Amino acid sequence: MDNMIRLEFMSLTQNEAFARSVAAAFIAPLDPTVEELADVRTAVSEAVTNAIIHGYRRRRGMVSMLLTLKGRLFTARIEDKGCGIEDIELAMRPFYTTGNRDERSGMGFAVMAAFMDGLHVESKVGEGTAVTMEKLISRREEECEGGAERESLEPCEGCAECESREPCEGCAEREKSEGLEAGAAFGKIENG
Amino acid sequence: MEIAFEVKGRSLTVKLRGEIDQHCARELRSAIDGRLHENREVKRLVFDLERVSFMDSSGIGVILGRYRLMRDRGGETAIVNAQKNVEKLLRLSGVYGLTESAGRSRANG
Repeated sequence: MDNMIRLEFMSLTQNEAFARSVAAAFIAPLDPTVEELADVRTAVSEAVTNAIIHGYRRRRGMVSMLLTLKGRLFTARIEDKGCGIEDIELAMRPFYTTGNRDERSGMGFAVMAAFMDGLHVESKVGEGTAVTMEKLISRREEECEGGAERESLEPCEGCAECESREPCEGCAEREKSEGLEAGAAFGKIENG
Repeated sequence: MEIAFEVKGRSLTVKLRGEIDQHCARELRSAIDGRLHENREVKRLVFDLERVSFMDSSGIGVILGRYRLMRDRGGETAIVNAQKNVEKLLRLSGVYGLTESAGRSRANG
């Protein structure tokens, strides 16, 4: 499944929660683990925070976020037209910060690098910064028992379309392993 | 984000609820510092993160800043009840090396 969204928002800290929620919603169809969701939310929050408080500092500007999915590879590109980074290597060093040391941990890039599978930073002083991060969202069957079986069982025509037919064994299996969500879907079919 | 305080003897517990990011960091910082200023006899600061569903490095900055304040007055800082995703961040940042941590993560059961 390939997908892409682009969005732009003002460099206000209240937009951080919005940005990470959008990223989480964007990868939700891949059925990521709780940990993967948290990793993506955190990494996006770090990049957006950097754009707002380090890129634009006291100025206002627009932050753009480009999210893409290629198969199970999620990529987030967060870009600002702020002051840029003079020494990227130094900026990425853990605990380094240009902000107030009592307020900032200097951990932003370290968190992005640790929570995502790839991190790339491009910047030009006076022009802005673009942070690109990617993460491969795992397939669930690697983690849960019976996942491989679930994968191979396609929903039968009856479950998907026909109310009168009984769900096939495959769908019944899916209901067990997927819990509430699949259960709700069956409920709809039965009541409909 | 919501903040509640509990003072017991020389210990101040800060109970946080919600999501901690840069947006609420300043408010959080000044609220805690205000309490510490009022209660100068407090020698132990406890962050109870049980109800914190999300935290990024802005939260680490707040904790580290308060850790320094407590250290300067000869006190200690502890973090308790962090959820699994928050605990991952705390471990990565090395905050657990500076603060005392107690209480199992809820997600770890």
